[in-house]
Amino acid sequence: MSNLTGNTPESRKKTRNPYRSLGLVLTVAGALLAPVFYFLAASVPLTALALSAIILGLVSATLANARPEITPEAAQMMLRTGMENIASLLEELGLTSRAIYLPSPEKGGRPKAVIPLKEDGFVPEVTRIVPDRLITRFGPNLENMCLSVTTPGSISLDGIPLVRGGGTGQVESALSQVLVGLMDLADSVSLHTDERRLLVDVTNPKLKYDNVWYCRSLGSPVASVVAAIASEGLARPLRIKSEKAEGKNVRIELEILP
Amino acid sequence: MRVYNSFIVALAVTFTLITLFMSLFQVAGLDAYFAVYTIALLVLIALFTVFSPRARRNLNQVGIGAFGGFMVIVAVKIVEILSGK
Repeated sequence: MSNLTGNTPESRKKTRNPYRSLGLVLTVAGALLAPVFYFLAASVPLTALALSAIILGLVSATLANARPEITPEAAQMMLRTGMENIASLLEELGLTSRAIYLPSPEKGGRPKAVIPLKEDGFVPEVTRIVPDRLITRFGPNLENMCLSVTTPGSISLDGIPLVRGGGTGQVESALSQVLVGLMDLADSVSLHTDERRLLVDVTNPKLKYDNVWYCRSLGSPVASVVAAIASEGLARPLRIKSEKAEGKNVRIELEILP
Repeated sequence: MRVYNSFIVALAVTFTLITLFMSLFQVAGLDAYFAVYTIALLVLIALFTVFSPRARRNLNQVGIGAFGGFMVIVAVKIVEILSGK
């Protein structure tokens, strides 16, 4: 067995976290320099600068504790694995219909994306979707069968203060929190809405995934996250109508279904 | 983690500018510097709305600590004024 000393998750976290190192350097340097500036140099502005370094160091160390314990590379690998598996499933079943993003059931649970096995324009009923089933019925007829999958957007809502049906204001705030703050996938997000559609402008999206089967059904990963969050925030079923790249931005058009 | 970097840079620039301006106006009390730093920190925490809940919770703790220091300074000043020093 290989020697794992010094290779525990805790020790790796401590050594690899640049915010913790920065925090330590700033706090120690500030604490050492403050008395020197105050008593030896007798300079209040320089002492204040050392004090600000201590505050900055504490902020940096605090942010270090908020960083996820796994690396972005590991997170990306796991995300790709999930997407590859869904894409394989779609390809194997020959599904080309576009996914409908549903809000979570009122009783509780996660928002889901359903991919009808036959696209006949029937909008799924949230109450009919059986939670924790991959293949489920979504309508009154026997042929209303669909694949029901959990998307990264559904999972990303854990811990985000988004109330089911909270409205467009909450949707925009949650999108910014998830895409910019939590996932670091974009620089900014803005949202425009009318009765039947939702336009979401994502500035400088980072995650590219070009699998035809996945994107044709569920949209790009960023659009999928946007649709899942918007569906939950509006408590309405949604479908990704289009995604257009405009320079560094991407405009995602979501169709609000009845 | 670009939002963390932006926050740290914004805080560093703000603290430097505050120090520069206050030294230009020859402010001599360290407590005055600390009070303005605290206000700047609290304002920036409020302005950066995209932090994850965990990061926001941690930053709020630093903000509460700084605010506690600020309140101590205010209390000392009030005592000084009331005692006529």
